[in-house]
Amino acid sequence: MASRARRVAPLADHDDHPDVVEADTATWSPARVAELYDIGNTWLHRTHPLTKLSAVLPLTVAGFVGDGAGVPVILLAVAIVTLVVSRLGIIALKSLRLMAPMTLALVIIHGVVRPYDSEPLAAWGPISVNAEGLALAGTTAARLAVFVIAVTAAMATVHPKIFATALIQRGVSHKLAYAYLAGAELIPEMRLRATQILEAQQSRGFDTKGSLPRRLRTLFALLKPLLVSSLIGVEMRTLALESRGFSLPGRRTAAVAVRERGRLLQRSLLLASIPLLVLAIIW
Amino acid sequence: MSGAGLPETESLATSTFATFEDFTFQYDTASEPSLTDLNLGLRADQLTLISGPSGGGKSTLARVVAGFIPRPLGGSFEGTARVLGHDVDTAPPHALTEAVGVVFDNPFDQLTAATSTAFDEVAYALENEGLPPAEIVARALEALESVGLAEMTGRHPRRLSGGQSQRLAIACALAQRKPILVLDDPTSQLDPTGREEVVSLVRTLRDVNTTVVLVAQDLGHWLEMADRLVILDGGRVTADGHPATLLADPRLLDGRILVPRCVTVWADLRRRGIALGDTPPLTTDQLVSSLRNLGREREPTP
Repeated sequence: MASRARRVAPLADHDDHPDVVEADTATWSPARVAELYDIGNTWLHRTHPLTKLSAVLPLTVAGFVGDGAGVPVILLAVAIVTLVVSRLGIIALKSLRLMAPMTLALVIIHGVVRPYDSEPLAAWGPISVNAEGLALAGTTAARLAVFVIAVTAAMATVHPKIFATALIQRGVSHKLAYAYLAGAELIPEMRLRATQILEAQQSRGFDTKGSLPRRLRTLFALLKPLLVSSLIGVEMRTLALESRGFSLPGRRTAAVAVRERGRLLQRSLLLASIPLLVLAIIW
Repeated sequence: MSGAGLPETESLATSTFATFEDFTFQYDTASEPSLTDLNLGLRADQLTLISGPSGGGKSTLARVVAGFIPRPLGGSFEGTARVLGHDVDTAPPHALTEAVGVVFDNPFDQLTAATSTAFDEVAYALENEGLPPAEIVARALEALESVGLAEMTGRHPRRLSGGQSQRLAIACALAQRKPILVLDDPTSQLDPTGREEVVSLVRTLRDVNTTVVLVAQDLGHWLEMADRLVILDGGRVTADGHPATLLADPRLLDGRILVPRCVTVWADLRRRGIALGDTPPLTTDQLVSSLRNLGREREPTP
């Protein structure tokens, strides 16, 4: 049967899924599917997906220890250095890129818009910049950044399918796992659909490179068919999923199972969140 | 059977896997029934071609067979419909969806959108069935190979062509070893290359006696492999029988169904008094052969 097929893309050919136990000679593509996922074989890639996920909680809680930005900034610096040393600097970069608009918003809200009793650092008419506000914005941004970098590092170093399989193996609903996988595929899928519609419209003479009003008109012309085609697609996909046993009762298996390990470490990490939370509250 | 004096509906055989008796169905959102007083039996080990004008009820019939009607799609109905011994109204959940594989017209919207390789796409259904990993892998690879996608196992489903994507959907059903395959206009959105890929695959399935219910508006590629043709118009069966026998009736060639050119040429010649047999050729090759025979018959004998 599949002697030729098995040579096509055997898992063993790709060392980017170290958590996977081969069921046979399963295939797995190195294709980059999710926007976030980065193929690699670093220690972080080799760490069990749920260990990485478990680490997010204590790290996030630790970011709230102390009054100011000291602890979260230290955590952030350690995380960035660790990622860079592990040749995962791209993850740090992605996290910071995600944080940039959020940080800007925090600075505007806390540092400029929100009124304070203290003397402003600078003022231009009704707009003033306040040191207290900037410090608060900085602290909040640093705390958020710890969370963002922890989640990004956890998610960007595990193939979505492996993560979903690990969750199902631990008893998480397969429907929830599907939601995660479909979410990971959503952006590329919508992008592809939009590109197809855009190309179809361009071939019918739609100008997409003209003035701003013209571009806006194109955008609206794109949105309607995109929405309609997506809605139509939902019904068909629902039926197709039914046909593939989506709502069948019973246990799910996986073509490629995730090796069960690190349970103690995962529990320890989750438990470590409790004293950290207490520390964050009292300090 | 109903219909304007056209061929009668064939009686139900013992190998009938689906029966409709006075079955009328209307979607909740529709103002008229999609199927009306349907009396029909679909037999196993055959390729049954369902055709007819748009809105005739073809896809609705396919969805009843596939176990999507009356649930989960919803709607009201009268009469009875039984598929694989189950009354569609009282069938246990999943009884039909487990046994009937479905391929829709849109090659991409029927993908799960949660997998990153063709292999994963096929394996998904098997994982839901809780099969052992080794069996999932073996079955998925076997199914992919049988539809000619052995070289595409690692390719992202979105990067497949329309024809490849339809073959992938068929592979999913084959991997699940479903005894019945419902194909709802599987080539209507494909380019000529993709269409030929799917037609060729369906021909192979037909050759190994797979039970196929194929919905198609354009009969062009399917006639030669169909064991039976059922025409639905306005939710009613207006013709039912062997394709060649049915299409010999000029009333079916009124333009409401898309028949291949070889059939219309046969009918044109017949109108002009040139008879190429009692039944129309179903392929261009058959037409050419008939014309050659006619030429030989008309050659003056020395």
